[in-house]
Amino acid sequence: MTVSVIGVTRDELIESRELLLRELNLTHEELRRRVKAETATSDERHALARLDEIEFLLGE
Amino acid sequence: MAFDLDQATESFAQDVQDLLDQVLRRPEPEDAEKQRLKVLPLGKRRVIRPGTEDTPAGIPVYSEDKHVANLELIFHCEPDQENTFLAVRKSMFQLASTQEGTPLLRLDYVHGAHSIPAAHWNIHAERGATSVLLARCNPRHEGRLSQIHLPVGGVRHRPCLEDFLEMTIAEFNIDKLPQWKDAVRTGRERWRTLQTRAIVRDSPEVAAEVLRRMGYEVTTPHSGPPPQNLEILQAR
Repeated sequence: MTVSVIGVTRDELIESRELLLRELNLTHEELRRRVKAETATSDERHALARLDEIEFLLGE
Repeated sequence: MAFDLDQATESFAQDVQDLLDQVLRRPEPEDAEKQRLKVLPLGKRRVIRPGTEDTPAGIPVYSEDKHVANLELIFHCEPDQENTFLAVRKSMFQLASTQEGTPLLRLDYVHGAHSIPAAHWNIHAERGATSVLLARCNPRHEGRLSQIHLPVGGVRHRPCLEDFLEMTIAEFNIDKLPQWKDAVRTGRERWRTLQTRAIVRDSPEVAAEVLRRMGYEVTTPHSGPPPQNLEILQAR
């Protein structure tokens, strides 16, 4: 398989994060605590990975 | 030649993709697009992982053609300080059973970590005796084995993805392709060669001394020997 490059903008990432947090009804840190406590589902683990990658890409 | 961040990232990502494609035996996937590695660029930062644009996902692994677990992997990268090569700032390789959401094993690397070892395993296998000992000796600890960071070699000597993949094959006997061993060995050689270069940069005088003993003629720069990278050499 050939890897794909997906161009993203700052605004798109911020919007994606806001949407995700709204859907989860949790803060980033609350979600991190759920994952750490092993009470998170695999979807929630992937959501945390998404929030972490957005934070990294935005340089926060 | 000037460093090309996009070229370096795509080349690294493709090496990882090729490794996965040469090691893991998977039925023709219905969701091939989801399993394909994605590169997400913004400014000088790059994320590499499978999934869709908005959602990271695992890569299914099989045993006797049955989907039994998922391999999750993530790389966060940016140029090194000198802007000469691509540096991994964070990586995560994780095996999660399809039976439950909690992962089984995770190999993390966090560049610049201080409170935890930069490279470490987390093992999700709770045991009462561990919790009791943690509670007795370190009440501040959460008391779970999965929260213990098992150190593995620091920044330079940490295991690579090839090591993780071989572990899943050797220990869990997951479905693999006939050429898996060659792919793992070639990739591991590439990884350790890259790390050797970095290790030489960390300790140039030690490297020069070893080379002189081997018969090489090595001259110290006029400006004097470069310093050792004590931060890397001493970090856990």
